[in-house]
Amino acid sequence: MIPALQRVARSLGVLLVVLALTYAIFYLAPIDPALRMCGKPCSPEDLEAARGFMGFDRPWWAQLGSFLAALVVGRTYGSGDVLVHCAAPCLGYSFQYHQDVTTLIGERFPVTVSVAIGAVVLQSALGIAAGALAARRQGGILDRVVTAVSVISASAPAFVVGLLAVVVVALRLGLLPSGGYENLADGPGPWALHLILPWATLAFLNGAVYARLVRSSMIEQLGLDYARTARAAGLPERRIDRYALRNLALPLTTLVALDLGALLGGTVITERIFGLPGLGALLLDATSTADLPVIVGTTFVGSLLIVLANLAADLARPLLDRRLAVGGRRPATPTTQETSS
Amino acid sequence: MMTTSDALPAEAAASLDERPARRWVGRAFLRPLPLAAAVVVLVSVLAALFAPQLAAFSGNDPFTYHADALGPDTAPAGALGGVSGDHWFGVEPGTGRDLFSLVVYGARVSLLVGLASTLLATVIGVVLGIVAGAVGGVVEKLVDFATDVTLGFPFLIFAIALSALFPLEAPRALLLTLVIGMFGWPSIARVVAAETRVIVRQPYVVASRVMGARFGHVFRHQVLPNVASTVIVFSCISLPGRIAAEATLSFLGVGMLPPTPSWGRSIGDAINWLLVDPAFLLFPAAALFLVTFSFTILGDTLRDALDPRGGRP
Repeated sequence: MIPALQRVARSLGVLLVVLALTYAIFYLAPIDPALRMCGKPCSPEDLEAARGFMGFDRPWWAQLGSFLAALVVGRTYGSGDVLVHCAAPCLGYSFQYHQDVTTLIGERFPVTVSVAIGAVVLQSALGIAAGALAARRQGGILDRVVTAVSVISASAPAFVVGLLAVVVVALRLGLLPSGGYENLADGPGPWALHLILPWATLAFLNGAVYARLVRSSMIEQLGLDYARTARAAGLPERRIDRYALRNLALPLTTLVALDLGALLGGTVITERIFGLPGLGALLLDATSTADLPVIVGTTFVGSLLIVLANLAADLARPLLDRRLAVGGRRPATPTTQETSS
Repeated sequence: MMTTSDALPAEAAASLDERPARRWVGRAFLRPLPLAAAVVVLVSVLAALFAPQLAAFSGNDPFTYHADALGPDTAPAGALGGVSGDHWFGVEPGTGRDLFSLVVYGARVSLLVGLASTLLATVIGVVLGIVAGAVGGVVEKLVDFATDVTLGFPFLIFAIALSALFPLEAPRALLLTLVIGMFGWPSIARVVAAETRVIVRQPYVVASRVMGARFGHVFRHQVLPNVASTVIVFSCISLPGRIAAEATLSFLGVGMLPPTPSWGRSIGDAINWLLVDPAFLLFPAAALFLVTFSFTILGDTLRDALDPRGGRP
């Protein structure tokens, strides 16, 4: 139990440092959100009042403290008779949308979740199947196709693949809508139809990692003594495959958790290409209008999801491999660096 | 006089004799795919170096607007985005700038930012990795924590957010290099730290420490040469990802700003012209894909050549 607690404490520490760095960087930035709120002409007194109203008049560590406190107990901006309340968990208040950041992110989050979960399901299913089949017929046509596709998808920039998909599938062939988002509440049909291309694009890009991992590990597993013994004992090959795949549960879970965390944090490229109003789109809009509270809030949520995913993967490890629970050696686990979402 | 093998214990001397003579690494590249990749990389490097001359040779530059090459709807006149003897890759819709010049100049930004950020990430990663692996203790824990923090940042999101801070007149290529490089070091640092930990416990390092070698000497003459091949392979493999990162940020409109030609930004502009002029997407996207693909092939080949046993994920 103690190592798990240590792990949780470490994750909290990482999160806190990320947040503090984000705050410090944005506080030092040469932009002043109060300038936009203050209107024109902007007298120094008005500017000072706007800063005080938004809470930007205090040192960055004090602002960081308010931010953290607001996460738990909420926060009220302004003073006197003009008050803006932001209920807990408060991620800040956007004075451009005139809405608290938590609500803004909450509105966009279902879109990003839809994209991320569908993509992870599709990419892991396709990647694992392709990798396992390629390992079974090592050197065969399928193996060569899987290897070639995985090299191409590993080096193809995400937005190039996505745009090609739009041009060919949506615009030339007219098979699927080229973009936009339909609420799941309005029926799963249109929802899924609009998301097929984003899912497929992400699955093509990320699935190769699964295929490579499964292929090389399966080949290794099928060469081990237990596979040979099982084969000698007359077990069907299908059964041996299942044993081999079971042993891949650990690295695959890690991979799925990391991918899910990275994707939930914002599928920026995918959302831009397919015109999806998710977290990434919110961030891009906030960037163009220098809406600091939204920017800091989205960065925080993205970082939170990544750290949580890492934590979940770490905590799941002893459950998947009992040797680790009793202090055995950690097997190598994959690490991924994501820029292609 | 003693030869090297005389100085070694019996088993080590035996294994030295058994070890096959080291093959020339370049041999691995003498196959069709790596050769083709090398040609593409060479062409792109030459294009980047001689961009002004190449553009002038085609009779254009990337900044002049050619209104005469555009149709009434400001899409390029003629087939395939206005490909002609004057404009080899056609012209940019809306402005009529020469696409060949844009693509050739675009190689400059892509390669410059890609190479410089990889260099930065490698230097940070190697220094932190060696220090962490060699010193151990608190320092190692600190570097480990810094690695976790860096990996805890959502890179793309943070890079986009940062771009909101930079004034428009700031040197974007330098900023992109710094941002991409500062987030790229953890993977190299981890590997180097792990290798260094093993190396500094080797008898020859311990012996030279006993004989009074300073940290700098061990760093330069014993650790660095031993981690060199890993470092080279790692930076080569990560290079295409960083080229893609620059293109991605420019594509999203938060990287290179107009009028500096950039493949990513051209591709981003192409979104608005997909229906009328899909050819506009073709040339910048092909250039970007070919270059990242070729660097990936070269990196994989180099890895297999230097480390034939493992390394394949």
